[in-house]
Amino acid sequence: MKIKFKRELSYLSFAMPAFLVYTILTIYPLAQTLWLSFTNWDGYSMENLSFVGFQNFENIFSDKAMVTALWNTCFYSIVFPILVTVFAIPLAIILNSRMSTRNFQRAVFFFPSVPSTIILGYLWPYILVPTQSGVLNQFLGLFGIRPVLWLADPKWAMVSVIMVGMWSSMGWHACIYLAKLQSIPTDYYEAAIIDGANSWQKFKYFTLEILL
Amino acid sequence: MSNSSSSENSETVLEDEQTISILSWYNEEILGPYIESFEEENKNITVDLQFVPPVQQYIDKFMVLVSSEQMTDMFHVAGENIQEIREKKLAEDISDMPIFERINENVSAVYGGDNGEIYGYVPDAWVGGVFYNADLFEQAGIEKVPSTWDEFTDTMEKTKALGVEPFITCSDNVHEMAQSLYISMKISHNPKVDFEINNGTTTFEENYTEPFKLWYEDVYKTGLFSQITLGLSGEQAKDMFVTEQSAMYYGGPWDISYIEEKNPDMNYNMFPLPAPDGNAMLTGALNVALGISSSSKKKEAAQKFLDFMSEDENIKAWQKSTNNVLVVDGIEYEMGTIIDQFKDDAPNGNFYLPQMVWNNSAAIYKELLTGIQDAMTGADTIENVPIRLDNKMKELS
Repeated sequence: MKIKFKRELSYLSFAMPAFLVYTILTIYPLAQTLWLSFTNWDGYSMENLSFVGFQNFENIFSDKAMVTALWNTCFYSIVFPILVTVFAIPLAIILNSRMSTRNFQRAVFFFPSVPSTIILGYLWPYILVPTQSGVLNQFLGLFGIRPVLWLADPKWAMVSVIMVGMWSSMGWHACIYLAKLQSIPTDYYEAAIIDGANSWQKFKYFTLEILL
Repeated sequence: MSNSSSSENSETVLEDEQTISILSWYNEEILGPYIESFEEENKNITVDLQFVPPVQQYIDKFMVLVSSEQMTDMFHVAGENIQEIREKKLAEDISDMPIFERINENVSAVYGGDNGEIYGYVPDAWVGGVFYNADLFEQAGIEKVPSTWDEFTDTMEKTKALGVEPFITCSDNVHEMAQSLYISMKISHNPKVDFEINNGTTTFEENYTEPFKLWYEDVYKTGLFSQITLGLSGEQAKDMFVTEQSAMYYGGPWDISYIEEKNPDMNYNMFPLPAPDGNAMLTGALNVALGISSSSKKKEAAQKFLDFMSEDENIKAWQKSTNNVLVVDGIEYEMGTIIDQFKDDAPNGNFYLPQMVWNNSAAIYKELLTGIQDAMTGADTIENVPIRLDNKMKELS
């Protein structure tokens, strides 16, 4: 037992500096924040602190803006990955076909994932300006569609955020699926064709099963 | 920059070498020349400028320094930290500085305490109002700037008929018109309303409901103030005004250089938003003030720096850097902008911003903005916005 501990001690001594730094810079502030969240701390002085139970949490969750923000975050977190997956898989299949321009198309779809979020945040508000002179509204105007209040209406704002998110990340997700598609042995499809499977059956029973 | 010491306090000569630290949201480029000049005049005092960008980062740093008892010798007193400074006596009372004899006491009281204490010195303030495109006004047949609320709504209707947005602002400032109407309707009659809300003798509901409803019914519901403002950034809103897609815009001194750079030929001017009875008051607030930390061990040296900054020559130079109006009486200066016509209002204290007075102003302000935004999107009623402010005030007190 003693020998085992001695051996462990040398390993522990290597991990100790990182453990100490992590404890001081992460664990301790986290624990202190948790403790302070149950007090009436005003952000300035630690004197005269008193325990207020769950009052701060009650206040936060009765704040309409906070609840709306939480709901929007949940909605986005659920809907966005579903939509990206639903659109990225067919896109990956198209990009995996034997078209002569497929490399160009792959580059075009992958490109939006290259610019940083800061650049997207700067660029898209100009496209989504809710006036008649907004880029997207001008485009829609060509088809006789009235200006849409893209970022000026809560529902359209959510649509806009999801739309921009999909524009920027769908190509990247499609590339991941594309890599997986290219690793599927062609034998499976050949066997399926011999058994009389149609395109939809091949997609449903092979492609989708393997991708997911 | 003046190198001559004029105030009595500055006559004291400090024998030891001292370094005073200043926590500031003005960087080296703005404060540097004053510091250099001050150090030249006071060879034994060095100034260590600690720059932190405004506003939230500055307030965060300020809170950390206070709670860790590491406060700098001097710091900025702002609307966002004055309540804590008052309650915890974080700054020295500097009301005996001679400069305050030349500043309206209502103006000094913004950074003051209940018993006449003054915690910060600042010579300038920004004032803002409705910027309007004079050419579009002329095309719409508007002969003079509106002097009552009805004339103002009439002006909006006439400019809308031209096919432009009558008034534009950005999503972060959609509360401005309703708030300015409150200032002209209520504060011009009783400047103490928000102080009374703070001490509980009246409420937001009693004072803010009428102007907010008037704004909502007369200009929002009628479509004169458009919902598109919720989808615009500050720059986009300003661009719409500069490119003459909008006849009016709520602006301040910080907008002038942008407007004149983007459209040098633009014929524009400014007026304060009028109340139904014709009373009008400018929106505006004191700039951030400089205060001396009550925990400083170098108060005398810090006081010398304040005295230096309050010399007339330095006040004039400071005005040139901020292009704000001066609240100090007896200083001749030219602004060379449309705000020039209102510079005499500043020493009389004829400008106001409720955020400078409210307790817990950052949280109340956020509630006001989201409340107005909710009213515009139909997520809440306009009548409920002042009630939300009262509830927030109660929650934080």
